[in-house]
Amino acid sequence: MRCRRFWVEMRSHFLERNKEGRATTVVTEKMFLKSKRATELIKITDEVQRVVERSKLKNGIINVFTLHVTTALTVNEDDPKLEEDIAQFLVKAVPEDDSYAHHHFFRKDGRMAVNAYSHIRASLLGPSLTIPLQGGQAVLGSRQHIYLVELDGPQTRGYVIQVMGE
Amino acid sequence: MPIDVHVHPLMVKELTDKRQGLHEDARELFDLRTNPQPLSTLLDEMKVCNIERSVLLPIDCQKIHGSKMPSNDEVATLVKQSEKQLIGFASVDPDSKQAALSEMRRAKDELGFRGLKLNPALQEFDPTGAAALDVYKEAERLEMPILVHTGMTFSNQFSIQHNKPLIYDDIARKHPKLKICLAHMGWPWLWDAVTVTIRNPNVYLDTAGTYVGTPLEHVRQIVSTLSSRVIENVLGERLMFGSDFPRIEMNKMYDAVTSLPVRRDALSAILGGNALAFLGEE
Repeated sequence: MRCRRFWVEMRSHFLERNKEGRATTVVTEKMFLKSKRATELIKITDEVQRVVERSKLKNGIINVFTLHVTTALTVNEDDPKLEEDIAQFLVKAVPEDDSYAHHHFFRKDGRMAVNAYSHIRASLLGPSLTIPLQGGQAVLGSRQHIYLVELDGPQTRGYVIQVMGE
Repeated sequence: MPIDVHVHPLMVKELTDKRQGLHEDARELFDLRTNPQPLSTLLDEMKVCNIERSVLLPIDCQKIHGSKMPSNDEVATLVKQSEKQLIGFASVDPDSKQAALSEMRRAKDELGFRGLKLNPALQEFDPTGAAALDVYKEAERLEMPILVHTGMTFSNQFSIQHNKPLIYDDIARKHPKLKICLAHMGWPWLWDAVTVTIRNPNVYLDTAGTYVGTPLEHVRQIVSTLSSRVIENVLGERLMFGSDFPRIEMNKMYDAVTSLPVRRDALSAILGGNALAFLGEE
């Protein structure tokens, strides 16, 4: 069975003019990807840049926001070894085998909650990123790449890329 | 060959997208609040922990709740997508009597299913009643092993009176060629389930589910209750790996079970060898 790893579900385009008549456009795209491991960094720089290109906006800001409480976003160098190092650091920093109050019958989910460490790892990194937009490009340093960090995979994950500007 | 004998195809997007209400039924009946994931998520979970095959367990709740969770035919569509990795079990409502027996025959002959899943609490049937006894007899004749829910059920919509492992001692004795798996090791009635298993060579147990914390904490509780020696020497040939996916992620349960302080040969049997025997493949 073959599956796509990245896809887009929803696009919206919103334009508003201020009193001086300058237009600010907000382009929002809801994106999905499939993680393959329990903990991994998944590079989404190309997906962000594609949304920027589709938006046709030149200057402003880009916001990337994850839709989950056990994923996070970060910027770092795209070296697979470093990706593994970061994943392993998170695993060591917040051990799975500890006494977590969250691990009780969680009626909201209809099951035992068993992933406090995933939530804590996600909190350490944060759920969103803001990246400057200039000249129709995400402004990133030569070593910088954008990552969605899976902390309780493998699963299908959603995130939003919003481009705001003119 | 690692095998997960306890997977519920409950929140599979390919099925919830096709059948309106299936997602809501699963939420209401199983209290399962997670969102549907594509079948590939299950296959990815299997890949992460090198599980080669998984047994898909539907539950026929048509009589009481008006829904099959999912239907045998829906399970067959999933198995067809990945036949080398997925094994279909059927579910029937024993109280539908002749219909149940003919559905078992159809499931085996036409859908290629290998066994039968029953949950007396959720399906609200008496596991010692005449209708259920007919199902056991037919399963024995068809050489379809049965995997039956025993022990704890979180939802208090149902009585757990019919989940007691000791019920299956008489059934196992009356049907010595019928292989019976007491799912969840009958937790919290662990010793009852172990007793039935020791007495009857046709009875198996699975590790599925957690009731006292993470899979690791749950497995530790089982070890502290039963001891490593009982697990490796008494249950070593009858305990099978089961996750209870999607209630519990397969990789978490796999990590917990592989941490069992038992001999390597016993662990290897628990992860797959015993399932092969249960499925009649050795």
